[in-house]
Amino acid sequence: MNRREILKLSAMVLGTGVSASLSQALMAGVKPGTLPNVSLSAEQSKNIAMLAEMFIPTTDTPGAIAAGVPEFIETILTEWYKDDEREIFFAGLASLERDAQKKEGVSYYQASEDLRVALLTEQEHIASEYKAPAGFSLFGSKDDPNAPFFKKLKELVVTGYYTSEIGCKQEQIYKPMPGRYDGDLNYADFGRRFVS
Amino acid sequence: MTTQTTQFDAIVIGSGVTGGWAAKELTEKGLKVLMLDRGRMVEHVQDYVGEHKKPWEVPYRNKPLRDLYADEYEVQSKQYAFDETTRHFYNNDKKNPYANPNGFTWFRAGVVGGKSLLWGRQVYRWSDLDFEANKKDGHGVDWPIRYNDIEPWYSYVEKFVGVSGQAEGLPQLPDSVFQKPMNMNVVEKHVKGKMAETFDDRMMTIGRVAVQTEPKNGRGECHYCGPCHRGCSAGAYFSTQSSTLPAARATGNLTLVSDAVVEGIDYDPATKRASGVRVIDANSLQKTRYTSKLVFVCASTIGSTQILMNSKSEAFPTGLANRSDSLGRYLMDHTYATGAMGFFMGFEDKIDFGNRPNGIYIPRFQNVNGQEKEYLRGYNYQGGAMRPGLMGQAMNTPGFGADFKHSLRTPGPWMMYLGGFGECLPNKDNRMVLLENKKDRFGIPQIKFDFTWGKNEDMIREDIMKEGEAILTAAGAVGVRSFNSTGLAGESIHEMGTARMGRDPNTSVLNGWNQAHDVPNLFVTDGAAMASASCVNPSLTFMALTARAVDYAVKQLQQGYI
Repeated sequence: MNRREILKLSAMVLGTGVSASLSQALMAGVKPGTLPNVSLSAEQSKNIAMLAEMFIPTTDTPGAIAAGVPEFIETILTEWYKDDEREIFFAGLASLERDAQKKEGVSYYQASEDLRVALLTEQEHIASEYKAPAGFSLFGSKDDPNAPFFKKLKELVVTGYYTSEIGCKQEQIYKPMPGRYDGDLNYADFGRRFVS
Repeated sequence: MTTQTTQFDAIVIGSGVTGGWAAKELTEKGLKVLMLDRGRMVEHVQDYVGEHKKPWEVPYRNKPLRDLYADEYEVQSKQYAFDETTRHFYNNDKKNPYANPNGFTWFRAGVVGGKSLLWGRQVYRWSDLDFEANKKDGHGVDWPIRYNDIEPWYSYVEKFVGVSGQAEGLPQLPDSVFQKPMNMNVVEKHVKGKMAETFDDRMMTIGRVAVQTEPKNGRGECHYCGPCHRGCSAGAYFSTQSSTLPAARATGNLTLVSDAVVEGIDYDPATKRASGVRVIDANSLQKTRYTSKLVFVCASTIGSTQILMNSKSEAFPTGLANRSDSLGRYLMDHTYATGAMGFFMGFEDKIDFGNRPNGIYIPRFQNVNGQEKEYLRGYNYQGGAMRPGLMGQAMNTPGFGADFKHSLRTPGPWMMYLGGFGECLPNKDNRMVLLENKKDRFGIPQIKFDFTWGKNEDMIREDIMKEGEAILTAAGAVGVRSFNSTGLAGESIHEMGTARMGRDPNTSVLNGWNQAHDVPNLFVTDGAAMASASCVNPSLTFMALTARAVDYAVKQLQQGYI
C-alpha cells in the first residue's frame, strides 16, 4: 500500500484536518437576505428526491426514495439545520436548478440524466476543495456547519438511507439480537454489512 | 426542616456501583437501610426507553440536538455514550452546574443507579504493584491495605457481578473469578500472536468485563446487541438496577428515596458521631433530616467529597472529617485518548458479527519489575480491531449512484487502535474547592476544580504513543500513527481521590476500612477513598472495598464500638 492509499484510509477512519472555507464560492449568486422560506417549494422537494435517488438508486435493492430519504432530508432542513446551514444547502439546490434551466430550460429533476450527473459531479468537484476544520474523532465525522452543499447532501442521504428500515433490512443484514460475537466469518458468505 | 422519625440503622448516600453494594450488603446483614439518591427514579426494564430502539425510530436518526445539548448538557454531551437513547440518564448541566467546566470534565448521571447504568464495565483487580506504589516512590501516602486484604472481597463481589474474562496468571493483573471470555476477532488474534513472537514483556488478553456470558445470578447472558448504556433488560451487565438493588429490596430492609439531594451531614461533638443527614427534595425543595447509626457516603468521588466539604461544624470548620486538610485534594484521573492506530491488510475476506461490548487489554508492562523507565508507574492499553463504520467510509468514497451504493456493501479494511490509560500521581494541588459565593439551586456551594497534568503523566503519554506504534508495527500494521489528547482531566471517568485512605489521621481522611479517622460511624467507599490511581480501571476495587467496609462496620456496630 502506498502512502497516498494509507492517507486515504486514515481519512476514512479519522477524518482530515486543515481549514478553509468554500461556502463563499457556493454562495455566489445568492444575495444576503434572500434565504428561502423554511417550507420547501414543490420544485425543491422534487429536486431533493431526485438527488437522493441519484446518490442511492434503486438497484437490486430499493433506493433512497423508497426508503424515505427525501422526507428525512426535508425534516433536517426544516427542523434541525440552522440558518447558515440552510443557506448553503439551498444555495446548492438553487445553483443546480439555475444551471438546468439555463441549459435545458427545465427544472433540475426534469433535466436529462447526463446533465444532472454532470451538474452534481461539478458540485462534488467544488466540495472536494473544501477542507474540514481540524478535529479528531476516532469513530467518524462530526457535523460541520460549514461543509459545502455536496457534503451536506451526501451526509444526509447516507444517514437517512442506512438508518431507514429499508436501508437496514434490505440493503444491509439487520440483526438486532445477534446473540453471539464471531470475529472470523467469511465476508463472501454474506456480501453485506451487518447492522443492528 | 422536618425530622424523619424512622430510626434507620444505616443511611447510604448514592446508588451507583458502591451505593448499590453498600445497600445490598447492609440490608442482607439485617440492617434497616435508607438509600438516598439525588437523581430521579429509573426502574429496571420499564425505564430503559432507549433500549433496542430501531435506528429509524430515534429522533433525527440520532443526530445531536445541538441547541439543547449546548444549553443544558454542555459537559455531558461530550461523553461517548450520550445521545437521544441515553440522555435521560445524564445530569442536566444547566440545572446542576459546577463552576468551571473548562477546568475539569465531570461526567455524572442524573438518576438512581448513577453511572452504573452508563459505565464502560471494564473490571480488573489491582495488585500490590498498585497498593505499594505510593510507599515505594513517595508520591501520596502509603495505602493502609495490601492485595491480601482485599483479595477475598474481589472474589466475593466478582461472583455476584458476573465478570467475563480469560485467566492469565499475571502478577500485576490478578485473575478474577471468571465467566467464559468473549471472543477476539481475527485481527486481534493475529496481533496477539505477533506480540507473543516479538515481545517477552507484554501480552494481549480479551477485556475483562462486567457483562455476563453465562446466565447466572438471576440475570441473563449478553445477546451482543451493542449499546449497553441504553439499559439491559436481560440484566446481562452489572448495574444497580439489574443486580444490587433487587438484592437489597428482596430483604425487605431497604427504603429508597430518589430526588433526594444531600445538603450535608450533621456532626455531634458530644458523641463524635455523624448524627443526621440533611436532605433537600429536588422537586419541592422541602428539607428533611434523617438519622441513623451508620452513614455510608457513596455519592461518587466528586459528589461524596462535595457533601463532606459542605458539612461544616465547629469541630470540623473546613468539612466533615477534615482534620488533615486532605479533603478535596489529591484528585486523580487516568490519562485518556492517547494511543496509536494502524491498518491490517490481508483480512479483507473476514467480517465480524455481533456487537461485542468489550475490547482487548494489554496489561501494564513498564516498571513492572522495578523502576526501569524515566517516569514513575505505568499504563495499559485498551482497544480493539474493527472494520470502519459506514459513515466515514461513505464520506470518503467519491461519486454517487449504483457503484457508490454497492461499494459500501464491503466495509473498509481492518484497523486496530490501542488507547492508553496512564497512572496519574497524587498531587496535593489537584483539587476541588467549594465556592461559598456561588451556589446552586439548592443553596449548595458549587464545585470549582483545579487540575493540571504533571510531567510524569506527560512522559507516560509519550511512551503510550511510542510503544503503541511499536506494538502495531511489530504486528504488521500499515499506516501506523499515534494520537494524543492532552484534554481535560475527568475524561476517562476514572476520577479518584479527594478523601483518601491512609495510615495517619494527620494526612488522610479515612483509615484502612474506609472509615473516617475522626468519625467512627462515617464511611466513604467510592472513588473518593483512593490513595493512588493505579492505571487499572477502578470500579471493581470500589466494589470490593465497599463490601469489605460494610462487613467491618456491621461487626463494629454489633460489638458496640460504633
